Amino acid sequence: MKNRILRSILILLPAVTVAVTVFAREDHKAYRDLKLPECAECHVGSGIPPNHGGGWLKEHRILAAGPDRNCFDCHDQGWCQDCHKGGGISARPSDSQWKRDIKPDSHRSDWVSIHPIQASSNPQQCSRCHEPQFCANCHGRMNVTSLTIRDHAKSGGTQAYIAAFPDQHAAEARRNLASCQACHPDGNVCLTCHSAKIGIRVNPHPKDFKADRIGSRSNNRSCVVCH
Amino acid sequence: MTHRARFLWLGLLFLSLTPAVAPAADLRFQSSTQYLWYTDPFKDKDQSDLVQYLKFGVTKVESTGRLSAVGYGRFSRQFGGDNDPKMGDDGLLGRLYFLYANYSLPSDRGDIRLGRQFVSVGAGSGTVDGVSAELRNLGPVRATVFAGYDVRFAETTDRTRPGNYLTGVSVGGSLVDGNNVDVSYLRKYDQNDLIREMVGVHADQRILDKAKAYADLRYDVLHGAYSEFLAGAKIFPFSAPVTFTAEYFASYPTFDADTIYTAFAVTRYREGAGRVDYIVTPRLTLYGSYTRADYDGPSADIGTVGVRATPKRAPGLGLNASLDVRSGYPGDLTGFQASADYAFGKATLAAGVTYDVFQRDSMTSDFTAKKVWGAGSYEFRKNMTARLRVEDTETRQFSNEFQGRASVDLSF
Repeated sequence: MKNRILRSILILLPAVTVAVTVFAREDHKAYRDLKLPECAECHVGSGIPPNHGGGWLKEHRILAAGPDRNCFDCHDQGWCQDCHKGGGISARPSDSQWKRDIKPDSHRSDWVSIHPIQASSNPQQCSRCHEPQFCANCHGRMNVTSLTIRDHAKSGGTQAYIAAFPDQHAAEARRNLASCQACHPDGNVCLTCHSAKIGIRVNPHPKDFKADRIGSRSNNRSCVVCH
Repeated sequence: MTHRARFLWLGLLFLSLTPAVAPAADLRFQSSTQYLWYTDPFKDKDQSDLVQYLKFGVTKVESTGRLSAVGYGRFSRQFGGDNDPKMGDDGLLGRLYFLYANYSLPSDRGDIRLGRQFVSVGAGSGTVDGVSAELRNLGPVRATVFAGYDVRFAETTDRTRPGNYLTGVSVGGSLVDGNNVDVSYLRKYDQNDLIREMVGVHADQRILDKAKAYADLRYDVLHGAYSEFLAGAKIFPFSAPVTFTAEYFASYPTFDADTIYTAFAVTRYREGAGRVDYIVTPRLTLYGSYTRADYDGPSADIGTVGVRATPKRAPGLGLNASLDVRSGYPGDLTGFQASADYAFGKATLAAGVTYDVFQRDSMTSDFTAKKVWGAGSYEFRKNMTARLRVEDTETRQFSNEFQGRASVDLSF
């Protein structure tokens, strides 16, 4: 056993030594004042694709969370928080605002009206910056008799969804369930039909629902609402 | 006042008193005093905010120079928001973005941080009041670990409660030249109940110094399903900096286990995307992309082209323009954005326009939104700049939604 450990160390040692010298992360602190297009001069030559390009808003997530990130060679944590949490100490002239919070460029012109379209593209992208409560803060104050979206087309004096489009309710909700949560944060309206205790008891779970796993690990937190 | 709120206000107070508590250290300080005005869309009422931002960095706290501290936060006071239940009695709000002490390990081996901080691993990210350690240059291995109270930012608060925790760990390294592999794990608790458990796996590989392939996976342990999957490649075959990107992305939205939405069926969202970035010269960059989005049935086509330029004949001038076109489910959007900034002497002028035509879904008609903005700044002293920005937007609700901000920025 001892020999095996010794042999392993002897085999791994050169690899680790080489790795320390070859794979050292490039320190970018010296380049922090360069203009972004100038970075390409080194990047292309060294076989690393230039970044901060046209699709940076979307693709920075992977590099920023990756093991080899070097964001903090040029930026402090405020750079993240200013976009993700509305900080504005270094607001640029082009940066617009929502009340006291600075908005990122992706939140274009009439964002209050446009955001449902953008939110449906990758339904998880809103939650990278916003807690569900953020949506509910505004949606809870909306005048529900004035909604002009297919999901809640006017049906008499209410915005009864199912009465208007019973066949599309499930498909629409599955495609963007977060939009349901925006106006119904506790989901009580869903329980009218989807509870196991009352109503018509329609099962909302997916086919391969891991009920035991979710229930046992989360202290049955959500299970007891319906069961 | 709750324990958490007390922590926030103490943190902000500490920020404002920093010059007094570290007189011998090297202190950098940044401040922005802003007056912002806008219309509350729910009340159709003009409101304004006075906001004071503070950011500091202090180094050389002790002789080795390994210990440092940084902080960033703001106070704000709203005017015209009477009877808004979300505001406190006095209309005062505070937000502490980060405030932590940093200890750098010898030989650039990493950092240990204590306090409020932004944390991120492949499995997820967040803000914690706690501790983190980032270890690097340990041969081919890197590691990150963090744990603390989970700070949840809401519209008017940094919402935290006892029993809300966020913890994560990431271990990665380079197995062969040009390769990165990383495995991460994240747990989120709400009132001591586990509500999110994620595993992240990332791998990328450079190929012949002309391409890079990558894959990234987020697996939701509670739901037993992958939450997000991305696979892509970047190719830059020419000596000129042209980068071609092709990506496949799939998303299965999962929810925290403290809501009943965690138990509901959802469908997968998928998209395939292609993008070209071309740095023609350091003064001219072009980019374009096409994305095909699939919503398990209906689909959408999304395209973008854009240009960034700093013309040689007009030193100090910067130009940006982009065209976005989206067609399909759930709605259409055709939008154009353009902006210019011009720096001369100690002054800068900037202006921009956005024009969007959109249809939210098949039952609604087209709407048009226009935004025009102008801004300027003047550097009175090297460490003091005044800025002004005004914006007028024609929205679905208002023919003129006027907003802006005026600020005085200081640094020393």
